[in-house]
Amino acid sequence: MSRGSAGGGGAGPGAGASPAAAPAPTPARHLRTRLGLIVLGSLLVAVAGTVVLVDQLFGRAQRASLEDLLQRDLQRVQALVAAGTLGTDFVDQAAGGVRLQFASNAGAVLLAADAGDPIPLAATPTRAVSGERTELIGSAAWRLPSGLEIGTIRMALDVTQADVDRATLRLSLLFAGSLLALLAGALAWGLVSGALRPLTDLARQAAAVDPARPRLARYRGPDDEVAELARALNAALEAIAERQQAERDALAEVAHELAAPLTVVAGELRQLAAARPDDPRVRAARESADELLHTSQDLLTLARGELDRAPDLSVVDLAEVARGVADAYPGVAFAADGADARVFAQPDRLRQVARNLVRNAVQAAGAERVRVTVAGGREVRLRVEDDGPGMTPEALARVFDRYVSGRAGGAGVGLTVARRIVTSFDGRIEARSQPGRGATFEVTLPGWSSQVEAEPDEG
Amino acid sequence: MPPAHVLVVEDDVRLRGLVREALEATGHRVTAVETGGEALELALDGGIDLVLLDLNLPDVEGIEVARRLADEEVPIVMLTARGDVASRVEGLYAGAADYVTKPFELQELLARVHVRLRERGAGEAVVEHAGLRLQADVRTLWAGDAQATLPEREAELLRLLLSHPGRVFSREDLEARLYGEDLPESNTVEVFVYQLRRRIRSLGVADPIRTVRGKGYTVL
Repeated sequence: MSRGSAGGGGAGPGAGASPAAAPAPTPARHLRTRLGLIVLGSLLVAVAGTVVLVDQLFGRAQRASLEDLLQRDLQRVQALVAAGTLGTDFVDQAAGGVRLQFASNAGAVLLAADAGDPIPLAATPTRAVSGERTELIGSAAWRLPSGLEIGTIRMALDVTQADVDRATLRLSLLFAGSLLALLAGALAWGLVSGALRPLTDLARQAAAVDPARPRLARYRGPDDEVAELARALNAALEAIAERQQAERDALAEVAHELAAPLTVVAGELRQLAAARPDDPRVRAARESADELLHTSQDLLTLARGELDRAPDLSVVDLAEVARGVADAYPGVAFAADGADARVFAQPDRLRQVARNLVRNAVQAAGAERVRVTVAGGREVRLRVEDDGPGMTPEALARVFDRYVSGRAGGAGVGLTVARRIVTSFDGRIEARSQPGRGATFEVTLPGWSSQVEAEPDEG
Repeated sequence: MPPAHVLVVEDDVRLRGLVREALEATGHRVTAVETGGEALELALDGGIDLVLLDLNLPDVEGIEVARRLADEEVPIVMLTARGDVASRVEGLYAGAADYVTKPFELQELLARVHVRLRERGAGEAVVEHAGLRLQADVRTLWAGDAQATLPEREAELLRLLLSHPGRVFSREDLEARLYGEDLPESNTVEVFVYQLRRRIRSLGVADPIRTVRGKGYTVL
């Protein structure tokens, strides 16, 4: 229940600052591209293999059938010639890409149906090139009806077209296969992109999670592995939020216990000190009580997450605030240049900033060696300088970090709070220091007039 | 500042004593009670100018007390030690004018009380600022002798702005105050402000409303 109400507060107007809302970085390698390429590549390899295999099988079968044809024709011619039913004028009838020649035992062509080259002798069917044609050639014994072998019958079958057909088949296969592979690759790319969209969406939401107020990721997609990831992510976020809430509740409990007595001690001592201004022990007690009060306020401000909420802005005179704070530390010098030093800020928080800077300087250097100056204008500057021991560059670099004390006696929490508050007013805070040469803290806030929109149709 | 009658509702007896003394020292009349029940009884009887209300009371939740006093037009300053920011926001919507977080400095508390008492005009019929005089109950705006009648929401908007000079009201805040739960179309507040500024200028005076970039509106 309590978490629900905290969430309600988080969903409130303005939504304050969300420091961690960085965009999800784009990965250098896209899974969808990789998977698409893998599918495309493996399909291309498969296509190439298929083409080679089909080509080989087809070529072999084609050649076997052609050889068979040649052998049968040769045997038919041989039988006809041997039976005497066929005269040598038969060669004139040979046509249709078949050449037939009768050669003597010595190899001279005695009879030819064409003017082509002599067909070489080939005991088994063999490929040969004749002019522009590729032929399958074969030969058989030329016997007279008496049985006398007088030479060879040679036959050449034109297989040029068969080769062309085979090449066409190869190309068609290659083309169709590549096209299919490309289509499949693109399809895989698209499918994976679609499947990954919930994942990238989750990544974006996870990157935008505000650590101060983790909110659950929304998942829209099928109940798959990504949904499992979303569930796991939300479970983790929920656990974190629960833990944070538990810590806040515990702190609120402690704060509640401490707050009233602390207020009473500081308040009563202040009244007492006002009544007995000359008693150094009362003054010491009052100062310590104030110290305790302010430090608790800083700690609680941070721990309660108050700075996560947008500030309630008003026009505040920074010079007036700084003067009031400086006056509370007798000995601290104050000067303002008199220019307009009004800014948009939440008065109590602005006072907290000035107080933390002045208190820090007074603790480091003593009140007499602290100067507070305010310069007004388009940008309003509050500068707190001290002549204290200063800081090493390492200490200076971490001076605004949470729970790091910049120098002996300095309150790290106070400076952290100061920076967060100044940032919430769209301002900035800077520290300069050198060991042995004191320190300067400077707060710069936009002057009120620079924050106000020009009046377009006035005057 | 004329002395006011402040009702302090706080269950911690020592804190109650401290606050009572401090307020009396600045000239106010103080009635201090321990429970929400007593507080409601007294406040509903009237005669109270401001209520300092602890959020954490033994009998009734402070927020509930604020809610029941919402119609009384008595400014309420919440005292809270609860860490939950949400409950404080809830308190503001329940009708509290401001809150002070424990532990607090007495001066801070007194300053808030004074601001809210000065703003008490917010609940009264006539508000004056920057040469403008608004009588909210009859929705009439004067600038010198010139006068105009305002539509209801514009009158309410101007009353809020004029009675808190220098305070920035975000669009969301104004929407919540003008409409409560049923929020309107997104840019209604802009339209109201635009109309209001035209009306003010037509009365022949400088328009004190300013748009604070990215933050909301204020009156100077």
